[in-house]
Amino acid sequence: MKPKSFLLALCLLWPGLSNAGTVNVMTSYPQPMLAVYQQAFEQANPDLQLNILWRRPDDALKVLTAETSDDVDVYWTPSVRTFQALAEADKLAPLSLDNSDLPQLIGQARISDAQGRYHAAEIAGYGMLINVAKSADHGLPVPQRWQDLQHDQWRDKIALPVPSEVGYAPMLIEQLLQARDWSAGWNQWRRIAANSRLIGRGAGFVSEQVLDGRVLVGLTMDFFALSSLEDQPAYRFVYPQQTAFNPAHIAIMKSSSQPDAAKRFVEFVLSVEGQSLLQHPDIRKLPVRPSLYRDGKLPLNPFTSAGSYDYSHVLGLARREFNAMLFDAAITLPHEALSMAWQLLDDLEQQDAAGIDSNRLAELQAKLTHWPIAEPADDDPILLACAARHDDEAAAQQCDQVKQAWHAQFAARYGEIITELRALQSSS
Amino acid sequence: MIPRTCRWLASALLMTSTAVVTADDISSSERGRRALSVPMPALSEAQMEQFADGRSLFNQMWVIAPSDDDDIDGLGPLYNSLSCLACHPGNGRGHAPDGPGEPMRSMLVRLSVTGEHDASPRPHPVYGAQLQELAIPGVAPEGRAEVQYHEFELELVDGSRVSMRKPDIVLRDPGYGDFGHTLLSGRIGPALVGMGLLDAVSDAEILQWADPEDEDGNGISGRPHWVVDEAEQRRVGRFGYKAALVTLRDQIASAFHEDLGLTSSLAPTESCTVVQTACLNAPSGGSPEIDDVQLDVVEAYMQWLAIPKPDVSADPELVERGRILFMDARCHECHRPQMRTAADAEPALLAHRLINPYSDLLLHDMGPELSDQRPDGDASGSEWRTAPLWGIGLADSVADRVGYLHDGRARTLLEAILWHGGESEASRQRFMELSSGDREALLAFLRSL
Repeated sequence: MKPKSFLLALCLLWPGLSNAGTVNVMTSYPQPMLAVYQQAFEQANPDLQLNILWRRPDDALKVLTAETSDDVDVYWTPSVRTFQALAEADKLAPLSLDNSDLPQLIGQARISDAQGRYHAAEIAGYGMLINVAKSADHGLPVPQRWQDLQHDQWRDKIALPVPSEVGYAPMLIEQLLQARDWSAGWNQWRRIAANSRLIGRGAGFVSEQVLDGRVLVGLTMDFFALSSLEDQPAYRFVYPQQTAFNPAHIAIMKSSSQPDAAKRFVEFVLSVEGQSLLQHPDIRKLPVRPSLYRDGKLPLNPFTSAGSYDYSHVLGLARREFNAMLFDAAITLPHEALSMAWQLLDDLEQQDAAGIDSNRLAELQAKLTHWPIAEPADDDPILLACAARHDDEAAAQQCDQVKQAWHAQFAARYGEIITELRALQSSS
Repeated sequence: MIPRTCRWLASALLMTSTAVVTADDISSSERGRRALSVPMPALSEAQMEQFADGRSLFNQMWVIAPSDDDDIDGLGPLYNSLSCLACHPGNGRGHAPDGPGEPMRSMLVRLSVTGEHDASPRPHPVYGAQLQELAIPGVAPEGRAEVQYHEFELELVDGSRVSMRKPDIVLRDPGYGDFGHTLLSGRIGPALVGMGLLDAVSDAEILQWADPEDEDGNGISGRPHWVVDEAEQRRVGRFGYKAALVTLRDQIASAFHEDLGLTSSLAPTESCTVVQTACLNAPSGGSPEIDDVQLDVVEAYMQWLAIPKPDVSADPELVERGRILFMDARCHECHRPQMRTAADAEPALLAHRLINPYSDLLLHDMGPELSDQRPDGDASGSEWRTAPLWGIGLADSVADRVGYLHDGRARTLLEAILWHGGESEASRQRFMELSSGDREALLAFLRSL
């Protein structure tokens, strides 16, 4: 069969296409969110049904950029990089929406495509899920900034997701690197990580660690935390003063065979009704429609509270894999030694100052907080190799070799500091 | 079988209080959205990891093959939903559509045709054992099931009227030719409470309560659903609305196979009949699509889900009165309040436990009104396994919409009770004679579970 004939046969056979009243939506949203939107959309549009085609973003990108892709009308997912790639590949149709009442910026950061090919459909913010009741029992104040978690009183009381393993963690790490400077940001993460249990699985696992009482604070995204909480005064989700907001997007595929039906779904998602669904107890995301913040019931209005907030998704995406590799080299792999070094340092600092060589202690602290890896330029070969590591075996090997070398470097340094701190401890 | 007097005494002893026997280390006090989704507190770190891995797969939206994500591909070619969670929202129960215009989102329809010369019914030769309404590109879906209702009111003895609805399932848009005379049975997704513990109950424990010939003359004749397993062993079925499956692993593999179209070592071929050639020739997600490690962690997830603790705090006196009325109406004759898991059950955490499933796991004739006229294995159309009631009070908490009974016809617990017939007719009559206050007390007891 010739390709075109095959495609025609496919179209005739596929229910999503044989039925003109079906909108085919590719997404990576979870079932509870899709169930809510599916029911509400079909109720509001009895002549249309939603056909869900589920794929993770990288897989979706391959399918949607393939020559003979499945017929998809709408792409709707939380993955900025996938929308950027689809737009660059000229796969998205202009949205032609009346979106004059939908802001395009949070602070200084653009959330929708300047050329109108994909639009922000919801926002998720980063923050801390805190067991405030248990924290109070430990005499710990509710942290308001990421920096507050650096104090040794939080030792082993924090759950921190590992960026190479947990999908939302790279932006959590990156936002602080952009807000502070490169070295200060990494030092802050190393200090927080020394107090933390590292979580290398399941996006919802961090919240669970807090709710199960294993830790007091979990660094996570608002919807993971808030969809787990129901009027539980023992817990609170705090957006730190400096944080990041991740927009999710919606777009109509240029290849859609039913752009009008596709547009009806997009308009529904962005409508007051569609945006209100984001507060469903199983979803708990922030709307892009400012009017929905007026009653003050939402936990935060990013449009009014962001101030001078600026976050470069381009920069964040460019060094996402590099940062994940570096995090593993400096933090994940030598985590025990990193924690031990800080614990020894904290313990010595708290000892009677008269018995300690304070100059030597300060030297060791400086050594521990020295950050040896320079911020990569856009064309840094290691950055490029790591960015390509999922598609290119040679690049993956290069990235991994650097990781092993840097891990050895960090492990040796932490080991030396531990040895010297122990010597200082025994001489005091 | 336990002798009649002893059995009554055992029931009475078991029901002398609302005491919770489910130990703290395997139960949870959560009553909110997550009430049926939290792990048992006693889990070790390694068990928690298995639980989390299993939960990920349980919540996973499966992907059409081929895919770069080959750990989660293989959906279909014919299927009913993209994830387990679709039919078990919040690990609770599904619901039926409210009318013919609404698609089945957490419900499916089992199919069979009558056997020749009085032979047992068998799967539909063209459509198989289950109508799969969805299909991957290039494969025609099997059709669509509509539910139409006959609405009526039932008058109770005190004059109260209860709105009821009796479903009639109609098949539309046949994808592979006329459906012919097909036996249909609608099934909503059941709640997933205590599956591992039910798996850990021995056949002997279930058989203690069997009384197939009604030797005790109480009008209740629970009988086991004997199933011959792959090793040619006769075992007591306990999973599914007709208790047609013996083990939790069988149940999980069957749901993956029929509902999501995913093969496993227990169901290694795609769910396509011989005439569904496009289905047979469609891309596969692997052989099998769910490997044994994935099956292991989903099974572990089911096993490690905490049992909800009953909550009488809203009105302890009302709940206690309801418990006594539950017993007076002899509901507990089938909704057995307690049973014990086997001493040698695996995993060890679930062994030798006294549990409160409120089910005897036996088949009972529930009368013609609840009959689906579709025999299933050794169970007749009117025979159903006693539905476990533990966690039933949380149904509304964990999901937006719920249904009760096998086909979700009952929208409330009240309606569900009023559909009971057959062996439970006397209990239903007793319930109908209660004052509205006493009815509310009995319902409060159920909601406390």
